[in-house]
Amino acid sequence: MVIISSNVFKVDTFINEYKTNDIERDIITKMDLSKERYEYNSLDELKFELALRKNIVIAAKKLNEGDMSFKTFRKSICNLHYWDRTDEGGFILKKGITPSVAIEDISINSSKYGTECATAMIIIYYQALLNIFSDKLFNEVFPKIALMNWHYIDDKLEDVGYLERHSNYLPGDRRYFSNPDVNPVKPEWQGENVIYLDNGIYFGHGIGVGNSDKIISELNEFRTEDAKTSAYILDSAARPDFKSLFDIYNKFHS
Amino acid sequence: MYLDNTNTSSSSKLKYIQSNHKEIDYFFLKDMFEKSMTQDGLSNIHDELLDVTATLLIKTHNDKTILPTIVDMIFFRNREGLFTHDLIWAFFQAKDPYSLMLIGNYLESDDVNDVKLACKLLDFVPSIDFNKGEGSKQHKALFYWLKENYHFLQFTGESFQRVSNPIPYIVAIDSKYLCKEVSLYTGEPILPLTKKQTNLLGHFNNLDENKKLLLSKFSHRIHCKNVNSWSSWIKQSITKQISTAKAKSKH
Repeated sequence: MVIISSNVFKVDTFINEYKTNDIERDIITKMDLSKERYEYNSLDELKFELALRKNIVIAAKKLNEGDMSFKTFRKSICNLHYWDRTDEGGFILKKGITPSVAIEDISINSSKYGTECATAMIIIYYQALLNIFSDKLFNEVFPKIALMNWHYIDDKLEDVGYLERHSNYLPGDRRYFSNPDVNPVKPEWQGENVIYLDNGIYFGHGIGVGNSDKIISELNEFRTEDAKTSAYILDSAARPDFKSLFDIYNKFHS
Repeated sequence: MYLDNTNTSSSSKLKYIQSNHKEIDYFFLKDMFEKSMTQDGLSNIHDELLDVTATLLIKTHNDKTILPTIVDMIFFRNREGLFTHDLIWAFFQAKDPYSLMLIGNYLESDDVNDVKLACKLLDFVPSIDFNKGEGSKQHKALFYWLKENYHFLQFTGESFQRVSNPIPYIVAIDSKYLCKEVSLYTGEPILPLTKKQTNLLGHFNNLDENKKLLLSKFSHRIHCKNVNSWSSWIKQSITKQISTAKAKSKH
């Protein structure tokens, strides 16, 4: 159910603002049919979430099509022109480098980057926000960027580090496949962070795009020989704080 | 043996272990770990070899004797800004709640980085909060939390790959309410429930979270003090149980 300014919002007319195959149509339909209450202070706030979700999906697909490699933290790589690589395997924005330029570089020179699945999620969020915020706003809001899974997340994105159960799941949600019987010498495959793209399809860095059967099948390849438990998807998702990100965006543009 | 040869590089040893770990003897792995741990932090590849050896000792051979060393390594590497991710995962994979006290010891460290990390790793324990300070109080609180909840803990497998605030152990408050010990692996009671207990749980599970916490805590407390008193209390209606628990919890 969609609620705007405490009133139930009828999506029938609004939905026609989007073309037939636009992902926003699918998202708003799912929200409308959901038992969960999707509450907004304004229509613009709803539109912002739809746009950000769309851009998260776009950024995930773009990362999949690029050449960023899957690497464990110990072997991670980055373009040292824009990033410093820490001994922990994370990437810190170099001093004097414009954040938006560095984030864009991950797409432009993707072959110079290699990391694991959780850090890939953070990269996707930054790239999605860069598509919605202007460069000026992005650089003001995120003057310092550290990329290393859920450690050192910027406060404005910290919600993406928490998984919660929901009545339904929407494109742009971060979800997690757990692999409890992982081979102990391959701890990087203890699970897979994914972005839900739509229609039962996910993107996970290191595995690629596929439905849950594919993700599970790939993870199961990295189990112990005497494994008893298959990999499985958790009934939960992480979502950025759309409201506070909208407030930042709205304040800048008003 | 190939791995015994001091001329074999850490990189080669690592590749060999990763490919042949099923054939490597426990005692040999243990010996290699003990010889290597003194050189923790000297090089990335050497540390990776240590991590893999430690993980195999813990997960394949269920060796918990190395946990104190693992914890010390984690905190050493953290102070040096080195990679701890895999070692932290290996530590929790031991599925040993009492080993949390090893981390708890660092709550009283003079090094603020130690305290920060200890609080981060123990964040799921209600009393732990970096902003509270008072390391020794928090250390004690951890001890009492473990003592109270040990028999009702379920290992979840959550790690920092999954979330920013992993909760590796959860308390099965329904079983705590019934004072029935649970399996660490499933969170289910070790002994089957009687019909009465199942019925009781039905009422319990309809309560809101706050009432469940109140009853489970009170039930455990009274059970530890006097089993007969507990037995009388739990036979009462759920409403009466709640009002008794509320009244006696104020004192």
